[in-house]
Amino acid sequence: MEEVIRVDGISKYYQLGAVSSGSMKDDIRHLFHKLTGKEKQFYDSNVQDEQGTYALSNVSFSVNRGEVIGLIGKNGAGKSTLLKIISRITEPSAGTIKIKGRVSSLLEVGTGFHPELTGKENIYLNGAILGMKKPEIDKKLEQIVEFAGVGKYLYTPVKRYSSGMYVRLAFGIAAHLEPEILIVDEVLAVGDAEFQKRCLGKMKEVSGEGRTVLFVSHNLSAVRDLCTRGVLLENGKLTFDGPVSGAIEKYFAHGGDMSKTGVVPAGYERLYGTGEIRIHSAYVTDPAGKVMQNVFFRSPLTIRLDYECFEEVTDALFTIRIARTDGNFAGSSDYLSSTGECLSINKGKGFVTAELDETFLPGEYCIFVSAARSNGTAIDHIERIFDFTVLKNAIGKGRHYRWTTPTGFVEFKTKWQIKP
Amino acid sequence: MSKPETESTKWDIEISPSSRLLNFNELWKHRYLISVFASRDITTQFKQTLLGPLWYILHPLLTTFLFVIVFGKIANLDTDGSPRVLFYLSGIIIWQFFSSCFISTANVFTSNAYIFGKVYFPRLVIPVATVISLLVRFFIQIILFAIVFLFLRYTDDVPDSIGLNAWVIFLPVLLLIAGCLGLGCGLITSSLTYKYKDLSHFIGFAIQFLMYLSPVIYPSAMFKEFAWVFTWNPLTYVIESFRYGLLGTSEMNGQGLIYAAVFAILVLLAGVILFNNSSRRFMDTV
Repeated sequence: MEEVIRVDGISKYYQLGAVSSGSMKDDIRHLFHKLTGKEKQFYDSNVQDEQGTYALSNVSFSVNRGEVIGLIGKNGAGKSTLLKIISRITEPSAGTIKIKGRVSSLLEVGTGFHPELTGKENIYLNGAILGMKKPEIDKKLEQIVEFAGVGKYLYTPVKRYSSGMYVRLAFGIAAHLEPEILIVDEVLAVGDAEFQKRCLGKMKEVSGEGRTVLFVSHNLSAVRDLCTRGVLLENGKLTFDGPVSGAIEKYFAHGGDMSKTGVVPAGYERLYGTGEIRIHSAYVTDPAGKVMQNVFFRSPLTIRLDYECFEEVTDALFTIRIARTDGNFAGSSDYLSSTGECLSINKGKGFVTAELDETFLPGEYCIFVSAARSNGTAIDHIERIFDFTVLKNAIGKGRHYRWTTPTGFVEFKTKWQIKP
Repeated sequence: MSKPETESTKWDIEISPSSRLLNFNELWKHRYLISVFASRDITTQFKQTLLGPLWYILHPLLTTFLFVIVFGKIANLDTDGSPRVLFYLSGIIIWQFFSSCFISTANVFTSNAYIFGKVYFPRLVIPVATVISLLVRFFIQIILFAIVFLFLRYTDDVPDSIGLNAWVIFLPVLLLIAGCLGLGCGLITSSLTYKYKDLSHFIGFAIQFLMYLSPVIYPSAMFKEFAWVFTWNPLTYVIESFRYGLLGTSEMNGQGLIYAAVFAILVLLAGVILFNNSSRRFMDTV
């Protein structure tokens, strides 16, 4: 196996607040100190001082030729920073990265597109920005135009393109790059479902050709589909490097005991949310209010969510999402969509219960909960607050689940009819 | 992760926090990108304008017209023995080349942040491409100058002593000096404007001021008291030699030209170093 990327002890330090105070006096003094060697910068990854923070600290891993690596982690874990460093958009504060072969990084499609230029002119411009040479673009032009389906509009300025055409053209150029190493960031987040499918297909094709791909996405099922290996970043540190299923498992498992009890531990670090309401716990409960970690097949599923409100919110809603522990979401429900109205919540503690009229197929599930405003602003959000298992057995004389492996997540409510 | 480095492992790219001050080799590798950016600069400039590239010609002509009226007819300033139109036009063409190089490279970082944040290529590609697109404009304007010159020769009483002479072969050198000066100043400014945004407001004013300290509108010989300003201003020698080559008026100062060349190289070198230095920091500060 040939090593093509070696990331060695990469750290990235960001100063918080004003980077330069904007005052020239400070900068000149800084420069003077630097010249006279009085000031030395230390990059000690254990220190998180008042002025700055480590977006990445001491991250090391290596990539072999032909591997497709999924880089996962929560918002702010340092994925984008790492990608930017590998793409040479920003420099590391410490450590080195060595790369063998031609790299193309797609942190966005259509970089540098000029609205006034025609489709064809933009193909050449964007292709050159992404590192292609003229003969290469000449050769690929026809394929790109065909892929994007913009043949008729090749000589029209792209500002007159529909947004779909625009994205297709942009992705078409990117897809016809032939790098040895491809770095992709969330490009799949744009475009409609059909287009996303096409992007994924193209990426599969690329990885099938034995090229090395580094893929960052929140779309965990895409990551699982495409990648052979997963690298998990948490708070700027690499915490897992191995099979992709393991990485996803660990990504969800950060909660520790929380997922067993459903109680959010004190000092739990929230990723986002404005904080007027804090969710204290959420779990599956039986009619008597007992926490249920194992649920019989076909028995009703009630989820209880305890909260405390610190500031009155007049347009609140709660959302419950349920996922398999391998990362695939089974479904979700929110108060506003179900009832058509918002909740007005006063200061103090309270709880909501949600009874799900749905038969989950046997398997391991986890619950995600959040509180938000009707405009979508997150108030509180907790991932994998509670895990539960749906057993294969049903209560009493009920129908047990017959098969070895369930297909999908829920049993359809079906009215069968047969006319012999 | 510290495997011993074997002879067979050869890395193409090494990323580390080290400082690369100058890397012209990499710039050369990206020459196709430079040409694409340069042609983008030219083609996008006139999209959606009625007259299109005609503006390359109209702009200096209208400015000359203005100068002839204000500085010639009203202020009645001396033009060193050359016809006013030719004197102003030649001054404007070379001055605009310098000042456009300066202005359009002074905001490289802020105006290209959207590209710099997404793709890597040597950042110097963009300002170099800008200068090349300005060179194209310059050549179109030089042709305009020739046409105006011939027109005046046959319709007006331009004396035979006025005209091209052998020094015109120095034209590429003059261009190079003006271009290096403009680019150098622009690069130095750009590495400051991304931090101190106020500076970009000041630049337009500063360049206008600089024009009055250069012999664009009047010959340098006109000022006796402020002679030192013109002596130290490297642009004096560039502009006057340019006129000397094209018209045979003004003076050709060999020593001054060498001074201007050395000055330009130093400014450019300082500009490139500062620029490269700030391009490494830029993405973390915006």
